[in-house]
Amino acid sequence: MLAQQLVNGLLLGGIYALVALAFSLTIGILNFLNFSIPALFMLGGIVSCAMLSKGYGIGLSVAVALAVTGGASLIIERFTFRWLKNSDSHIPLVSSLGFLILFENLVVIYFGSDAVGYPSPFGGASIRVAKLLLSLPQLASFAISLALIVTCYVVVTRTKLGRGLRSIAESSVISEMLGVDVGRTVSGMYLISGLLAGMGGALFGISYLQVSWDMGSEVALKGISAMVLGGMGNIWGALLGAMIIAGVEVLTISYVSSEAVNVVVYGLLLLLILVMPNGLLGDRAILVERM
Amino acid sequence: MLLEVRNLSVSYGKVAAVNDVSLHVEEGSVATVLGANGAGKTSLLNAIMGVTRAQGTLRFAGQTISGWSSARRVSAGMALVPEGRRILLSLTIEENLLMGAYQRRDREIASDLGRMYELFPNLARRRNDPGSVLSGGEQQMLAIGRALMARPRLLLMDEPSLGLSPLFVREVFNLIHSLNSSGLAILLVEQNTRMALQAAQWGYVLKLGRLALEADTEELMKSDDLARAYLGDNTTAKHRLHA
Ligand SMILES: Nc1ncnc2c1ncn2[C@@H]1O[C@H](COP(=O)(O)OP(=O)(O)OP(=O)(O)O)[C@@H](O)[C@H]1O
Ligand SMILES: [Mg+2]
Repeated sequence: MLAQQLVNGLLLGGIYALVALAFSLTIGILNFLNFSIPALFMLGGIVSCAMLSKGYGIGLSVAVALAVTGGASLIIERFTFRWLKNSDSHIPLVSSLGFLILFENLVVIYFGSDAVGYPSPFGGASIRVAKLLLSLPQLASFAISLALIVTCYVVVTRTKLGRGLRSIAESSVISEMLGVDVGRTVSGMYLISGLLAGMGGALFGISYLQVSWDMGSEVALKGISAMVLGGMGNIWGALLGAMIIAGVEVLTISYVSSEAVNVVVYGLLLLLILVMPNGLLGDRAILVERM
Repeated sequence: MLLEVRNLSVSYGKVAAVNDVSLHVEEGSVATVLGANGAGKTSLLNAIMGVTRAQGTLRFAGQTISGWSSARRVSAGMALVPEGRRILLSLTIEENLLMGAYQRRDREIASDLGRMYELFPNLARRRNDPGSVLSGGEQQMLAIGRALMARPRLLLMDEPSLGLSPLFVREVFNLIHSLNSSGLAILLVEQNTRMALQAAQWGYVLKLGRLALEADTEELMKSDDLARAYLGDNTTAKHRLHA
C-alpha cells in the first residue's frame, strides 16, 4: 500500500536527516567531511541500549548516551580540526576515519558483533489512523528530529554562536581578528553535531528496536547522500535530501526488491548530482543567504 | 601611554617583514605609520592585533599583552579596520556590525547599533542585505562601523582610503577627525601621505621593515627627510607629498 510505504519512508527520513545535518554542519563550516559521525550515531544507540538493559529509565539512558557522544565529539575535535589548521587537509579526514574504526571495534569487543534488541519501554506501540498503521515511537522520533533540525536552523541563523560559525566558515582569520574565540566556537559546533548524531542513534534504537556495532556506517552513507542531494552545508537541504532518500529506499524495497535498494538509491543520487551538482537547494546556502 | 610597541619583529619564514620596530600611541591621539608598498605596515598592525605572530613586547593600557589572543585584545579595547576592508560577504550588514561586538556582553549593543546607523545611514537602509551588495566605499564604512561596535579605546586602521573615490576618501578622513575629537586614539596606516599627516599628531615612517624616521607631523610635512626616507627618491616623494 503506497500511502503506508510513504509514511514509513517519511519517518525513516527523520533519522537520516539528523545524520545528514551532523555531516552538513562540519562541511558547511569547516569544509571537512567528518567520518566520525557514524561512530557517534552508533554510540548513541549502543550506550542508550546498554543503559536500558541495566534497568535505567529511558530519559536517563538517552541523556547518558548524549553525554558520551557529545564528549566523544569534543575529543575528536582535538584530533581533527586542531590538526587541520597546520596540516595537509587529508590528515583530519583520515584521523576522523580512524575514530570510526576505533569506536566500532571497541563496541565489538565489549558488546559483540551481533545485533542486539533495543529494550525500549515503548516497544512497538502503534495507532491506526484511517488505513495507516503508525508506530508511535517512530512518530515521536520523527517529531524530535524535526524539532532538532528547526532548533539547529534557529541557532545557525539567529544566534551569536551561529553568527560566529558562519563568520568562521567565511574566514577564520577575520573571525579571530573580530574577537571570536575560533577554537571554542568550533568546539561548540562539534558538540552540536555529536549530539545530533547521538540522538539519531538513540532514536534509531527506539524506532526500529535493534542496534549493532555497524549501524552507523549504513545510515551514514544515506546521510551523506542526503546531504549531497539537498546541497552541502544547507540545513533544509539535509532534511529534503533525507526524505527523498528514505522515500525511494522504502518504495524500492516494497515495489522492486530489497537487493535493488542500493542500486536505485545511489543510481538516482548519481543522476541528480550530474544534473544539479550543487544539490537541490544549493551548496552551502546556509552560509550564503538566509532562508 | 595607551599603546607601547617595543622591539617588535615579524617574519614570514626567512623574510623579515618588520624588524625591531618601537613606537607608541598616546591616549586620545592619532599616530600614523607611513611607508611604501611592502614596507611592513600591515604586518605591524596585524601583529599588534594578535593575528600575526611576532617577537617583542606590546603594552596596552598598562598591561603587557604580548601573547594574548586577539579576542582578549579586542576586549581590552583594540579594534582593527583591516586592509581591503574584509567585511563578511555572506553575513548581512547588521550581522557584520554585530560581529564587531562579539566580545561584548553588556546590554548596550542594540543602542550602539542604532548609533552606527545614524552615523552611516546608507547601511541602515540595507541592514538585512548581505555585505556583498555594498560598494567599496560603503564596505569601508561598514568595516569602520564594525570595529567601532567593539567600543575600542584604540582603533587600528590599515589604509582605509585605499581604492576609494575622492568623496569617500574625504568622508573617511572626516570620520577619523570626529572619532578622534570624541577621544578615540587611532593608529593610522596610510599611503595617502598628505591627508594622513594632516590627521595625525605624530608620524612614523617604515622602510623595508625598519623604522626610518619619526617626528611630529607638522615637522614631517615641512622636512625633506620624509621624502628621502619614504621612497629614497626626493623628487617623486616630494611630488606625492604636495600633490
Ligand atoms: N603571509 C605572508 N607570507 C610571506 N610574506 C609576506 C606575507 N605577508 C607579507 N609578506 C611580506 O612581508 C613584507 C611586508 O608586507 P606587508 O603587507 O606588511 O607590507 P605593507 O607595508 O602593508 O604593504 P602594502 O602597502 O602593499 O599594503 C612584504 O615583503 C611582503 O611580501
Ligand atoms: Mg598593507
